[in-house]
Amino acid sequence: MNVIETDGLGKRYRQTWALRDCRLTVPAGHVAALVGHNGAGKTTLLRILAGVVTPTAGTATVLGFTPGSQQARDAVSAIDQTVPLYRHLRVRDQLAAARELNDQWDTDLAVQRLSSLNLMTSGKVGKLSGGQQAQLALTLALARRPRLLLLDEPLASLDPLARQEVLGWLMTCVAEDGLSVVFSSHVIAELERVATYLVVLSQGRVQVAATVDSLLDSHLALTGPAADAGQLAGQVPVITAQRTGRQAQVLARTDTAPPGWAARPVTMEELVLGYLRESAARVLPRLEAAR
Amino acid sequence: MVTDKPDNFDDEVSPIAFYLDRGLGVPTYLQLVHQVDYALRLGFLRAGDQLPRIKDVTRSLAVNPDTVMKAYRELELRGIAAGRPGVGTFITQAPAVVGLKQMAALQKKLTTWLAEAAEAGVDELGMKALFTAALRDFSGGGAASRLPGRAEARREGGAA
Amino acid sequence: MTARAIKAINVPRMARVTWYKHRASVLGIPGMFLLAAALLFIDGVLQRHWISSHHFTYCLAYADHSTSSRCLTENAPYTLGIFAEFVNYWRTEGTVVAVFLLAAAAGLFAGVPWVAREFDGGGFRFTWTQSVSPRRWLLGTFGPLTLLAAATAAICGVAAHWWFQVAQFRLDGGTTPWGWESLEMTPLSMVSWTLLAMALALLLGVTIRRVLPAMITFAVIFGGCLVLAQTWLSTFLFSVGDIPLRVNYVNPEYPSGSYVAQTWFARPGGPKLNPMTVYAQLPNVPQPQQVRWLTQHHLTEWIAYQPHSHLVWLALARNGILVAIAALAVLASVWWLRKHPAE
Repeated sequence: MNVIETDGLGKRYRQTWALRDCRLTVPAGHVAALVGHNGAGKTTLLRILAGVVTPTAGTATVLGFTPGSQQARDAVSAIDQTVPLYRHLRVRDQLAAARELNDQWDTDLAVQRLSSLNLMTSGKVGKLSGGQQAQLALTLALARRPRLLLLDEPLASLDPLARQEVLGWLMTCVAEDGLSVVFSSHVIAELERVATYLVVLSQGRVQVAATVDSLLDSHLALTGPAADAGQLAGQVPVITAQRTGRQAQVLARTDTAPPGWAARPVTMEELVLGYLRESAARVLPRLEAAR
Repeated sequence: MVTDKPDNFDDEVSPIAFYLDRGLGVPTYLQLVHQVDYALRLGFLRAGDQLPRIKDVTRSLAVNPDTVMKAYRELELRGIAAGRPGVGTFITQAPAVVGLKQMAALQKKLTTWLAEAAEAGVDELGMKALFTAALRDFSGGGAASRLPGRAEARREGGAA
Repeated sequence: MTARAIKAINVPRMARVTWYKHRASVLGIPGMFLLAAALLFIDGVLQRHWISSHHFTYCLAYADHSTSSRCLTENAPYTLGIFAEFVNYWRTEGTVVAVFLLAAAAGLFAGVPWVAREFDGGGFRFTWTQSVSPRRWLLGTFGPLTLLAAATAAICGVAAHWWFQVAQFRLDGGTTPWGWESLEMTPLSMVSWTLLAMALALLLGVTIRRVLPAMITFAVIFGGCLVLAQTWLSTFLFSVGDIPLRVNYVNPEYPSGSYVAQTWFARPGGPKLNPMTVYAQLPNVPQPQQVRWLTQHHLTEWIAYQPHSHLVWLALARNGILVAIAALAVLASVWWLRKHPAE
């Protein structure tokens, strides 16, 4: 069962296409990371899936339902990057309002989480720090007991310790409740630990969409003589290549090292950075001299 | 579920707790496997001990539960651990450990080699580089482990 | 750690959300109407006290058809003059206008921002991702607010009507029951205008979705409605079902308290003639000779009037039209929201 399916999905704002011809199939039970340059279309995609933006072209389904439909709203929680909350309310009123607005609500979870975070329920939401607001939003999102969680840079405003703790809590929900998560992130270091599915967007189009395991299995970091770097493109699909004097470092989509090249497995970080650099990701690379 | 401080979790069921070294470049699940191995060799873990619960590890380390499951499966494949459904994962046997006398003899040989290298003018970093390269070649890691058909070697994990 | 499933989202739950989220509006709008009612009550008491302490009485002659002149006592002009010193014209007229505009204030300062800000401020990205459907949320929270506004507007209208019974004597020459002040200082009118204001606020908030442009548009449209109602709508309505009557100069027959909707001249069997053209042709002589001139030219003057008994129905019709427009605006809002739920 796929948690997300999109086909030819596109969104145009006036003259620019924020998202174009987007085709994705994310299976259930994954923690999917959405990566891309600023303006690549991550927020637009997440907002369409959440049901707060209507696509201009194509279709999308979440858990098999149309985004914005009743069933989708019941089963999917989404936190926008603006962390929308009723900022002029007190925390306890925000909590009460969220409870009234939802069919399923786990009061114990919400109350315990807030007290463990030392969030004063009498304070105003708007007076909380950015990180505390993000924590509150996450609490509200998970108290709804969703099957799918959509997060747009949710941890950006959290300090490192809070970040660690929140990720840990999220992973526990994944482990215990079978929650599927799609989150956009700039912090690549977290991806290898947390993500099992990777989507890379570039200029509104999907560049990479695969499980992390299959990506790590199918790519190699090759080291070899710079002189041979040009020929390499003909032998294996090269993603990026960097020349330093006599040596070249190449990221290639292959599981076999070609003769004359030393290979080692790639890390997630190298893989993601490689694809981000090479937005076309064609078989013929643009060899770039190291700066 | 009551929220505890993460430190307390693993102590309840398992003698060890996991940690992550993000800068290492080694896949997370392998790090966990190596830590179990290391703990066994040093005697922190014995046959019959329970490994940390998956949900405790995911909470304290903020890793995907799949990763922990992968590590435990790897341990099962190596014959070190076995899962008991509904209870947890337990150490079945310690790996064959080299005897103390052999260890001492090996260390003496190594010291001799280090003295030779020092005399040849190799500094500490050079010694480490020599040793790492030799180890890599010896364990069949790197490119060789990725060749198709060497599935077993691949499961040993390519050295980073 | 199991989740509790709550029973279907319903109006009481939405009303609670309104209380949490819009406490200012929930307290402010009724507060505004009730404060106005209290002030009108106090002013009315003061005016009635003045009258009774000066041993005057007041009566609305046209209502009981008994006398043809209004009475404040025997010395009508003199007492009216003293009364005028007690109660200022502009204050009376100003109070009437202010009370009349309360509905507009409710719609403009509470109604429009309430809806528009949900879009403008991005709050809809939270609300639209909860289980409640946008439509049910909108109607379920805005509805109770509107009902509360209408209820307190009715109370204010009762106070205004009571206050106006005396205060109207201070308006120039008194006022007719057909004048706009009399029409608007009633509970029915105040409720109707409040419903229209809130419905228009809902529609503009849902379509325009930005606070300032929506407020400006509301001010323009609602202001236009206010003006249009007093000028065109009243004139149009009051000529519906009017009774034609031939003018008898000796003994004017139409009852007091009536509203003259039209006047015209006609020859027997001929078409209606614009009175202005006839007046232009009339010779500049005393009135009895003018009448003879008209008879010589076979011209009869006609009027069409509305008896006082029709006023209730016409007022009901007028307010009914406002409420009908409000209902249409609400339906249009719901339809628009369904068509354009998101960005």
